[in-house]
Amino acid sequence: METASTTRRLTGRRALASTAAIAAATLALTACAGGSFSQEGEGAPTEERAFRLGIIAPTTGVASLEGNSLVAGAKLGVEAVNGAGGILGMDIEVVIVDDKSDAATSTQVAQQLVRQDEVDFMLGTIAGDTSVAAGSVAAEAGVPFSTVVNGTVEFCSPHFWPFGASELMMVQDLVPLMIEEYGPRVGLVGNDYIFPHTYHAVATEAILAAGGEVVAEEYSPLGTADWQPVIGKLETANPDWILNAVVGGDAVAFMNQASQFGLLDGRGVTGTASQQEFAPALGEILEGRNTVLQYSDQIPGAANEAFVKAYRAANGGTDSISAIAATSYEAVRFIAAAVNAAGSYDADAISAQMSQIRLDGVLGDLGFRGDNHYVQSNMVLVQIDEGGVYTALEILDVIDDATPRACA
Amino acid sequence: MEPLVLFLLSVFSAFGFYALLAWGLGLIFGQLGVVNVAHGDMAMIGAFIMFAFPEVPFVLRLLIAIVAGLLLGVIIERLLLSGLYRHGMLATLLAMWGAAIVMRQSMEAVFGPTPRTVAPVVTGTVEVLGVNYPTYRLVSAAVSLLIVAVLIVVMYRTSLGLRLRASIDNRSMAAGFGIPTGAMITGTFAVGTALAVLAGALQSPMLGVTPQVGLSFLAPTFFAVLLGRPGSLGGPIFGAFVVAVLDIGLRTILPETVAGVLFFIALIVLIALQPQGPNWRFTAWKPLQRRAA
Repeated sequence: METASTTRRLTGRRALASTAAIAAATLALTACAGGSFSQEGEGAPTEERAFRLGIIAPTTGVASLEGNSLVAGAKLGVEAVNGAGGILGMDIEVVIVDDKSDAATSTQVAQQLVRQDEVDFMLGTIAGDTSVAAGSVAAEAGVPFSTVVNGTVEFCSPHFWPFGASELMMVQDLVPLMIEEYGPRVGLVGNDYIFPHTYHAVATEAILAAGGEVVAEEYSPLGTADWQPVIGKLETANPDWILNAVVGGDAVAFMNQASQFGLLDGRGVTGTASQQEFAPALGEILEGRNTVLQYSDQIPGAANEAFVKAYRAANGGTDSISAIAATSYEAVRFIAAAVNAAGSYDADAISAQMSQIRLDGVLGDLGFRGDNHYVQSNMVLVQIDEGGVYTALEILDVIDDATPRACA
Repeated sequence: MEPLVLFLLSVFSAFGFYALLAWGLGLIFGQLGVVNVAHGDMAMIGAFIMFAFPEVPFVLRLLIAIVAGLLLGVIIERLLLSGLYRHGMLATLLAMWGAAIVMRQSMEAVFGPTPRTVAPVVTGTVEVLGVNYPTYRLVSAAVSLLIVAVLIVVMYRTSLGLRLRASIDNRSMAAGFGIPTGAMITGTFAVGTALAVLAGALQSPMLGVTPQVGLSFLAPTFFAVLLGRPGSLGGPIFGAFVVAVLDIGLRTILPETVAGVLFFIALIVLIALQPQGPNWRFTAWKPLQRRAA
């Protein structure tokens, strides 16, 4: 567990905007409750029909938690856009399909969206392989496509614009903070698929650059219920803190069992299991711990307050709102801004605007790099407090991820 | 010394869980000829029952889980399976596959996809030969093995067990002796289901409880059953022990993914070498003979 002094040290560690300054800046930049856009050039509207947005989300199956968050956020985004005049003066038409987190199904429903529903833009899905599957269909059809989950999707095209934070954005500020707080010896644990390996590879570079060392690295297949052999290996390696990339129900199982074995006593732990969707299940295990996220519902500012209010009204509950919901909400608003700026539904015109416009909203200063299409947005250092409240300690600078990627 | 102790404790913990699951599955698979692909999902139901009533004392929740499992078993056997036996194993397999989907979707509709957690009734660790091990794991495994032992005694040393085995071995002959075979078959399925639900309930404090959590239990449990002699009541226990030793042993010395592959290869090889299971009887007790009046 971390202490109040930890909070103060982390808060004062870098010369970033204070909470008050952020609130003031957000209010100053926000023309209305929904945030503000800036763009270069604006085309004359040329379309005579509604903009069709296809949403692919695993609303059932193993990733349904994330999939339903995606849909909830996107629906609010559509409502916000339509309430503000829609796209080119018309309300967005939405088609939602379930890919069940299965790549073959993703291909099938993406083809349905392209051929049958003739969508102008596709948004989704969750898992890396399903994103690649849907993205390949979109690229072949020349339809712009965006994802909202964290982590690099092993795919790019001239019309692919992923809104989720890259691995570098997730660990660059987090790793030095954790090493300073807990020590240099780091244990890595994750599920055995692309994202955890990439996440840990990027984290390892950050760990070494910060003077740390990786003392254990363990991966377990998705669906692992019993983590005691992994916990035993981590205990033997005796890390100062653990960076985990365990997902879904596995994340809860790992953290519960690690706590029961005493592995987390006196050790730091951060990573994917610290995300908002796990807080209701992990409760006290997460309390007092820190992580860096793309979003917290505690971020001050009118844009976020409007989103949180709308989300609560639509979905109820008091749990922290997930980053996926906020990102998909903001993605819809960003896409709408790009299309409005393009003045047409033409894919080339939309993609030309995606790297040009900026949106100041719930994800801070949001935009894209033009070369590798990595998103640029503020990250937030949070402390998880009692009741699963993700207190925003600092709004971190935008991390410009220049990792080469062929998108042309 | 400590690694060996940790290994043995871990095997004991995994053995208890898989023995309870596999014995129930073996009872249904070996005795009724039903490939119960919903067995893991029945365990998932047990975990959700433990989550759903946090204000009810832990032991009482276990009893609720047992009763719910018995009811679930009776409902499935009477409404779904009883009319399908004559159509063969494939028909009952597909029916249970459908039942598994219904169970997962129902739990998702009621509880949502968010992973849930259940607080253990016993917290903390206990020191065993220099190794601190979670107390609850040991208690859970001990309770599981005790339940299996009691059930084996019931099957081999009681009048009820005698009737049950008789109706399973030769239904028409048992019926000729006045044994209500239909009720016995339903009862067998209900007990197997209740054991799966109870196993999930006992395991719930170690899980991230989601509608999909039962899927990972199915393959190891099936292998545990297949390792034993078909129809043997002791075979699944032997199989569960082999599964626990292989699972924990391989995962302790090898990377997880490599261990996972070798685990299933080893089990397939064992089954291929000894398709009828070990050629000795786990339970060599003489079956209870009723004296003629």
